[in-house]
Amino acid sequence: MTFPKSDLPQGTLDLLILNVVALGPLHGYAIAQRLKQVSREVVSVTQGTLYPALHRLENRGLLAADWKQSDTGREAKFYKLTAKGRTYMNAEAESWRRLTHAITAILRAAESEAS
Amino acid sequence: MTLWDRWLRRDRVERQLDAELRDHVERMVADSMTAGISESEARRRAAIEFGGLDQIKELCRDVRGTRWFDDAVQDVRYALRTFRRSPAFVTAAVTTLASGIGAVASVFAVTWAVLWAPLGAPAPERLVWIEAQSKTEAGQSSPGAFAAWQTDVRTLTDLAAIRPATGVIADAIGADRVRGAFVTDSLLPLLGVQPTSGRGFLAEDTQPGAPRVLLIAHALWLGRYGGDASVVGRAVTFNGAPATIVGVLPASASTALAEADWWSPLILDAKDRVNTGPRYLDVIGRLAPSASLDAARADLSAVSARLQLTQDDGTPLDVAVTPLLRHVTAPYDVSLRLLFAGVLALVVIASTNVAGLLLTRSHDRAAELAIRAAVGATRMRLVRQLLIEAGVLATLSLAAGLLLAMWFIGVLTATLPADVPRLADVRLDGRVVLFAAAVATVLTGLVGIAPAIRGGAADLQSVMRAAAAGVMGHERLRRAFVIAQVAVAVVLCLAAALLAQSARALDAAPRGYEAGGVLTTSLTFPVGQYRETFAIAAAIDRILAGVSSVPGVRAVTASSQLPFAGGSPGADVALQEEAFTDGVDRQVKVRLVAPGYLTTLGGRVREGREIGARDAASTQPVVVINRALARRLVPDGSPLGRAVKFSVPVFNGPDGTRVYTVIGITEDTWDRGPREAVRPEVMLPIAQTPSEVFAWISREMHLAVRTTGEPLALSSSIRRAVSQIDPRIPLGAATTLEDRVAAAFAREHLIASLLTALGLAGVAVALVGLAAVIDQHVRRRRREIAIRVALGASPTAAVRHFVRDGAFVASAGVAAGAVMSLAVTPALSTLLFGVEPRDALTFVSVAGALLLSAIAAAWVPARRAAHVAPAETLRT
Repeated sequence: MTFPKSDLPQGTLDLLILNVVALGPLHGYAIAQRLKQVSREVVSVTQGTLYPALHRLENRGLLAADWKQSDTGREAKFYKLTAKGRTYMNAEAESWRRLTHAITAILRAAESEAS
Repeated sequence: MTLWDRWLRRDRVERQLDAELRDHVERMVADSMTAGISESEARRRAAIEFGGLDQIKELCRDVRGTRWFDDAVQDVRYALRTFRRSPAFVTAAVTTLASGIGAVASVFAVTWAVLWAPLGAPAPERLVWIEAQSKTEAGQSSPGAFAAWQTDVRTLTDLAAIRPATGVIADAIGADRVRGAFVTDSLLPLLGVQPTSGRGFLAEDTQPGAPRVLLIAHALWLGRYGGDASVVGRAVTFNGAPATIVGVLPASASTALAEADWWSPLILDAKDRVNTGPRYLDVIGRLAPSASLDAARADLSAVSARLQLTQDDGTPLDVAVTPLLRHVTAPYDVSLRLLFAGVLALVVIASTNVAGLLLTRSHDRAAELAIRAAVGATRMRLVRQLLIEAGVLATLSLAAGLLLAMWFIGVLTATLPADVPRLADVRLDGRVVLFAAAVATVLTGLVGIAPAIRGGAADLQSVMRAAAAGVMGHERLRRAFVIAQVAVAVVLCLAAALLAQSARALDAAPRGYEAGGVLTTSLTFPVGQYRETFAIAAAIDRILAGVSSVPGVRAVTASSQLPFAGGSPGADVALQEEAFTDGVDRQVKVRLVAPGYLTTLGGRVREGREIGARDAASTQPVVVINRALARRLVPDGSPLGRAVKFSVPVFNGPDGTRVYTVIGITEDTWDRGPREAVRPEVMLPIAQTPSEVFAWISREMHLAVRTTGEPLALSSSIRRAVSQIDPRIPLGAATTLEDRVAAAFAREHLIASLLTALGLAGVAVALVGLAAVIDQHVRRRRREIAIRVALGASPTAAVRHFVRDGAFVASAGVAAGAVMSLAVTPALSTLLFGVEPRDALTFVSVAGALLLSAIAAAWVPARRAAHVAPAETLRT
């Protein structure tokens, strides 16, 4: 049985992007690749979602962007995490963890009752 | 990066966005090629996977936050483009709106500067104008009352008195008669006036017997002394006595009060300070910080009551207290407000036409809007688009309107009578620009809102259906617009008609004299040689004889007062046997006249005779009185031949028993126009006038010359004749009596003609609106007309139908306007003379005239219905 690729819950894409970028400056294509690899292709992020999200995070000051020479020889836009972005990411990650714990607990309880 | 930066740098941001997305695609292609796929296949796959580049860009732009701004810029560009395609519409709309904005802005500039700008004095809102208030009129106060108020009134922190006068300043430059005022030393600090050079008045300047000092106005300093700084300290001869110029007043000093070219201390001696008889002082006060107008009035009245100042019937002579600003602006208040209201009304009528234009235009563009809506423009977006179009229109109009306003302000300030206070302060400043911008915004809102709402609601289906059926809701709206326009035009025209009638009535009202063909000028007798009556009377006799021998002179006389020139001292007068109950108001005005006064001016004697050459210093003292005084002295008979006496001792002769016989009774005359209540008056022969009285009027007399031809043509020969008698007697400027009268009523005529112009413009604009609606109606129904005509209806029946339609719309407007006018015109009552604010005849004639012109206006487009050719119309 194959699972359909999940749609991302609201707001989680931002968290994922921030986490990916936290490892070091990356350009848009690399971010997309990394998201695909890390989530083992479960999370599919189209360019139509990714780029508006990157620009939104940049506008909010959570990401900063630099144009740098890249491996292709062209200038590419590299995103990196700002201090504000890191604080935001940690807070969001914490609340996400709490939420998933709670949801997992509820699901477990429901499963054990059903069995 | 702020929104603003982002917007300013939007080109670069766009380029970077493009580069970023292309980089992504290139990397996808490169990766695929590494996996062994051919480049063309790799590109195809990348394009499929990546999706629409432009769509992604749009999404990225959305998060940028400058979206609304970009759209707005786009809308503005779009609006300008559509405007370029319809230059006729834009010209019509911008011209109409710009004229409206220009007119409103210029009238606002005048109204603000003249009526509303605060006076240039410290805490100007606490300054008050204080008058003695009798039953019929408010006027000047006596020195006795002033002195008592000054010491006893606590609700006023400062009081100052002004005695307007004309003075002769003589020095090496020459002798000039100049208007000025004797003022208490408290006036300068009260008004916050600091001399620009020299000093103000000191307390010792106002002591009886102190050397006479003068402050001269900025205008006189520039005009007479060429701005020479050394004028301070200069000795001059003032009214024949030595005086010193001690300072120069700033240019702003005279604007608060009547124009005065000099100020000199008002010296009140002990006798003056208890004299409550003559009333010749203007009084200004400053309210104490916590005091109200009412408290000050009560306080002043209480002091007046203690002095037993009473009226004829024994009731206390009251006090009127008004804010100084209101006093200064009162004569122009209603007129300027009216002008302002009239211009606003005109602008409303004119803008309604633009609203109609926009409405029709948006209707004509309904298909365009509906298609835009169908392909995804939101309703908000369409409404905004239409509002932005209106906004662009308003901005263009505002710019053009401000240019027009600059011109209008120049025209207005040149047209308004020069006696309008603070006219020099009128300018196009930031306040006026702000006001104009506010007007433009409101107009845009009003003009753009209806089409915007209707346009925003456009959906393709209903537009297409409506176009097929030919039923147009917006026609109903345009009709409502026209009804409103006609109604406002009716109100404007009625107000104008009433004022025009009033101005005509003022011209036609009896005045008691014939103004045509009379030259007037003034004579001032230098104090040195002309201290006593006999000297002045003898000089006047010789001047009259000299002037009457000038060819072209029919009659000549002299008097202390002519219509709209000079003044008369006041005194109490009673019949010989009556007692002067102290304080009872028996005030009359005393006009000093030379022989032939009434003959020369064309006045009428009711009974007895007028003062003649035989009434000399040596003969029996006589007076001629006017009808008003005759009625007061002997209510049910004639005082002719009775003896009267004056309360003021100087009139009573050396032994105090002198009485004057009434030798004539004249018709009443209106020296200050027919609006003024006629005051009881005595005419006293100059030869019998006590010498002191000449000092009261500053030895100024007025010469009236009735001529056979054009009066001003004789002015130089009259001047020569006077200087042959005594070259030291300065003559004032020569004017005709008619000019003086015209100048006095200039404001009334001006406001009437300005409002008439506004009214006619309003009617013209409203009728253009009406014609446009009928025209549209005819065009819309061409097919129907064609069918009717094809079936045998006469073309004239179609014309009649549309004219009837126009008449119907117009009569609704006229009826609404008449009802509005019933409520509005009573506000004019203080301006009207000789016509009721709700005069039925005026209402009916204005309504009738408007209805007829409306029918004519409707007929012009309706006529085209007769030219509908069925064959052609139905084929298309």
